[in-house]
Amino acid sequence: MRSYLRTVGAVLRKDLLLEWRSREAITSMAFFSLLVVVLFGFAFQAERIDPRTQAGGLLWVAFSFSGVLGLHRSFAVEREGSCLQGLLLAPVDRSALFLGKVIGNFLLILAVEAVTFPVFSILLRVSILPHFGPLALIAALGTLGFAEVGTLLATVSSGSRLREVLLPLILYPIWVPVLIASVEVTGMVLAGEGLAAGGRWIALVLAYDLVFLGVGLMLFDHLLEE
Amino acid sequence: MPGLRTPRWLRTPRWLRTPPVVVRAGGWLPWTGRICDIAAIPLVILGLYFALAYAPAAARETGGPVQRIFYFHVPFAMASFLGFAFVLVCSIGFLSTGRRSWDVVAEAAAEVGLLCCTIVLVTGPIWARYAWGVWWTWDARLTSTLVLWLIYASYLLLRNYMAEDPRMRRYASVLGIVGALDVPIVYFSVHWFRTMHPQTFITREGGLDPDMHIALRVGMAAVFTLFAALLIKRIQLGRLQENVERLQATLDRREQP
Repeated sequence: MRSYLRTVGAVLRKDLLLEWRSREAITSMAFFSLLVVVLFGFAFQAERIDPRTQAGGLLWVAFSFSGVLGLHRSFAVEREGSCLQGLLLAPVDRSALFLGKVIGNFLLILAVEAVTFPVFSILLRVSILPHFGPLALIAALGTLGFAEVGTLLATVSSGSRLREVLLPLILYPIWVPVLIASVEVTGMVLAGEGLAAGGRWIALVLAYDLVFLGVGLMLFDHLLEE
Repeated sequence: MPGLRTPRWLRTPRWLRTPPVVVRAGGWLPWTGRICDIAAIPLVILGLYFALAYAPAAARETGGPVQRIFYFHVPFAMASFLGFAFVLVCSIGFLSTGRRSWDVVAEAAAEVGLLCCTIVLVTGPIWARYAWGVWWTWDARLTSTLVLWLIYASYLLLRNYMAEDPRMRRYASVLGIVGALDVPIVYFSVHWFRTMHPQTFITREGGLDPDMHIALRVGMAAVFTLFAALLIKRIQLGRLQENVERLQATLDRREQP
């Protein structure tokens, strides 16, 4: 168990270190998600955006779009210099690689969300500070699901010629239920209804996170065989 | 040395060489398929008769005469679920055994299931236009069928985009499993999503007339036979493709040295 966790930590550390040195993914993701918020502001007339029914949707669409960018980047790094082959040669459990990459992608997307939230709040005049705790909770749970399924499917799409095209095509249909749930809960929280009203939505996201964590740990090995 | 060839008497005799292709023409599949082919045509005609003439007309608020589309719409929905269930089982089978025959069935079931799902999504709005006055509504059942369609359409897109990649079968199996496990979560999410926003539409459940029940049973028999016929045809096509690929590989090997 200890050595398993050490492997997870090593993969995570490698991903974060690579990202810290170049800061390519986080810059492009944060900028892109900012762009999406601004575009939405123009497209839907920012003054009239309703916190209950629209604001949550805008946020989560921005996160879904920029999250895919980060997933591409996380596997482009593995391909460059045949890093993935190196990882596969290491005598460790493959599921530890999966776990390490999921946590890395999760932290990366969470960092982008932390940047997007204040900008969103200022530009679209939605107050988020009073609801910080509940928002952070649903953002973390939803993003965890996105990182799990995203990491699994990005491994699939990175083997393809059309990888940039393929990933959103196969990821978004699977992502629909958590998108619905996160948008609903975010809307409730922003409207001041509190987390209690969204209890079953949070349960749904938790179930999704658990199911796909298990699926990812079991199936990741099959994706890496050559 | 080009002039030096193995003398004829040293070469493996033709009848001892391994055949390049294992053609599994036998088995129960061809004759079962033929029976389904032959049975499907009269059954579909019978199903049409029962749907269009035998079943009593429905009330105005459930679509009147247009409700007759129901006798094919519902069986096709069931057939698409069956097809997608096949995809899940065969994907697990392929990943655990690594035998290609599982994957051939998974691909066939995904295609035929998606065809049935498309028919459901086309016939549904035709009925809805008359019963509800709109082509589409974001009702729980409609939305979950749409998401189901998207999941399996993306599954087939993946297979198409990666057709020449040897890893495609494993990737597709993983997506087949992930997609199937997503279906119940999608179902709950869109169900709650819609009950939050009350809808006034009448659901189609409720007491069916006994004659309607009979018509539905006949429609189910027709559609399931058609489904089986198409699925078996598609599996046979997949096996032929496998054989062509193997022959091609053998030819390439022989030409190379």
